[in-house]
Amino acid sequence: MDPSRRQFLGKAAISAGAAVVPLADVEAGLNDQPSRRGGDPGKRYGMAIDLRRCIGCQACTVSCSIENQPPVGQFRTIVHQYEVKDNDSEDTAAVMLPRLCNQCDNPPCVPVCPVQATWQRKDGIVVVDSDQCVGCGYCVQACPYDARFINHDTQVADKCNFCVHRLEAGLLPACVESCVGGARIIGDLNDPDSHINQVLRENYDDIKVLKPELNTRPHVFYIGMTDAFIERIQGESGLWFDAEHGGVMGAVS
Amino acid sequence: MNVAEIIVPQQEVAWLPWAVQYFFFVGLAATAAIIAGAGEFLRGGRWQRLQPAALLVAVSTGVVAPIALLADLHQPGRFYHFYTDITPWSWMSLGALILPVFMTGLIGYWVLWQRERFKEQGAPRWLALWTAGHWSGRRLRPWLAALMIIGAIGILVYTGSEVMIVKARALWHTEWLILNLAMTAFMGSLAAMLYAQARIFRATAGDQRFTLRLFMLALLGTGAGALGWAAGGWITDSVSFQAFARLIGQFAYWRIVFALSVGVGISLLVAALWMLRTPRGVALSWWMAPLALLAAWSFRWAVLMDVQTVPKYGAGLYPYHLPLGSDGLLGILGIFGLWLAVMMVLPGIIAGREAANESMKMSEVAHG
Repeated sequence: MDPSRRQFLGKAAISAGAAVVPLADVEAGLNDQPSRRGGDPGKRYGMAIDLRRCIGCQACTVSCSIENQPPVGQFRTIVHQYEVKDNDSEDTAAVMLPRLCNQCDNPPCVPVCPVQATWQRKDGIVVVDSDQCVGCGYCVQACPYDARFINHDTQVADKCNFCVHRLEAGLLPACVESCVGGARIIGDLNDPDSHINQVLRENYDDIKVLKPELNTRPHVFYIGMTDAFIERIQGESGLWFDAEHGGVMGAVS
Repeated sequence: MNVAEIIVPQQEVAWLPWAVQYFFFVGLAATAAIIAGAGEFLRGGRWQRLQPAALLVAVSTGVVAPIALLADLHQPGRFYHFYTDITPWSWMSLGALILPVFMTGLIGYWVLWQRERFKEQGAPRWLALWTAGHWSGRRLRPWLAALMIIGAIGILVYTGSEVMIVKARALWHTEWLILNLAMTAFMGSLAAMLYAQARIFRATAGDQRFTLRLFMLALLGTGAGALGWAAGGWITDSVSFQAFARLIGQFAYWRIVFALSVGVGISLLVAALWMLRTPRGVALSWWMAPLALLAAWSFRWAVLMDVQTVPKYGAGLYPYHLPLGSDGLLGILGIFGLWLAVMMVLPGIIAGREAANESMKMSEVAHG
């Protein structure tokens, strides 16, 4: 190779390197996941929810609200309740579906944030800095699970963070602590002996996550969930809807 | 199996009607700025003669849009975080960088353009400072025009993209949305220019005809964008089209939205075609402006607000009742009122003597 060219290429490589070094955090392309920060890099928190053990008592909902103080009517976690009827036998059953942030491995709420107010910790928990958040609502739109909301009191994005302040103090999240049936199990997925890993191993064939096709890789695992609840609910909508919106529950029927 | 929801919370809208106002006004501003910029480079012809109307639309909507954007933040006082924590991987952060570039190009270009006009025609006494000094700024003008055009394209690309990338809202998740937002914005801004040419600048019939042709192109572009989205979505089974087909099938409200969109689009196209045929039709074409602007606004309402009432996981639709306060009606009216206030003053500055002929008084100009 002609020496001047080699020299030029060498210089180009050095200057390219120099340009990259101070911007080490900026390797993410548009809408790519930025690097994780904070938290224990050795851990990966996840939650298993055994629906067979959930009785829909909403103790988790109440204890979360007491622990995290969201405004009345707004929830970081809540147990959705459905009535399911078999069309042939006409048998009905109640289905309980506790919902919370899925702490996805590929969280779509994180890269959209324009001010880096929300990020994923190295232990997998997605957190919000309420002092940094501008309340643009972009992360609320991006979450496919409706796990986020604009808190009416603080006017910034709010969500479940697995009670990270309790985890760091060696306590269980409020919802896990209060669960009557022991349906919620939290733990470190990187530890092969953790309780959550034992439960997931025992129920290996019966583990489902919500909306897996979106490739968000949720880390809340449901055990004993019917396929009808993996994607959007195809059915009758909740109590507040009028006839125009196809609702038949309560007032209309 | 039949599933009925017994206890499920309702998800509120996170983007308020302020967002509709921002998308509407910034779309008009960006598309009008592109047309005004074209007049800088295609001098001596109809593009140049369209500049006063284009700049009137671009500047009046351009100064209003960022206020609506600021108001859509639930913590507007923290807007400076956009600049202290620049986030290159977020489309919205990119938008926060593009917007000031666009505004600099737009306002800078207009100030110099207006300066030259004032120097030629004389400025009103209260604006005499505008022409102070001997510097013409003619060398800087093409650069500012280029900045304005690049900024405007940036606005159109980023506003469409930031919505399009949201996979969680299937209806938004289509590249066609970028084109459809841009085309309806062109439709709205050209309709506003038709109005301005006819009622404020007293443009010649030939110039109005030119604008009417551009307006028709925008209508055809809007139609092509809609057809492309539907046909492409049908063939490739896109999530956006699937979601739309489901809504049309299930909900009367969405059937009405669909019927109105098609109906208004075709009506405008037929009307424009008919008006192009005769000079009388061209002279009347400004009457389409309110309907075209309303259509551009309503499209944004359907895309941004109505889509937020479609549950991501639940059944049915969430109810949305427009609040009367600043999160709703007052905000919408406030921004329109602000635009109206700007439009009381701006035509008098831009039109200058042109509007003063036919013994029109400034107050008449301001009120159309």
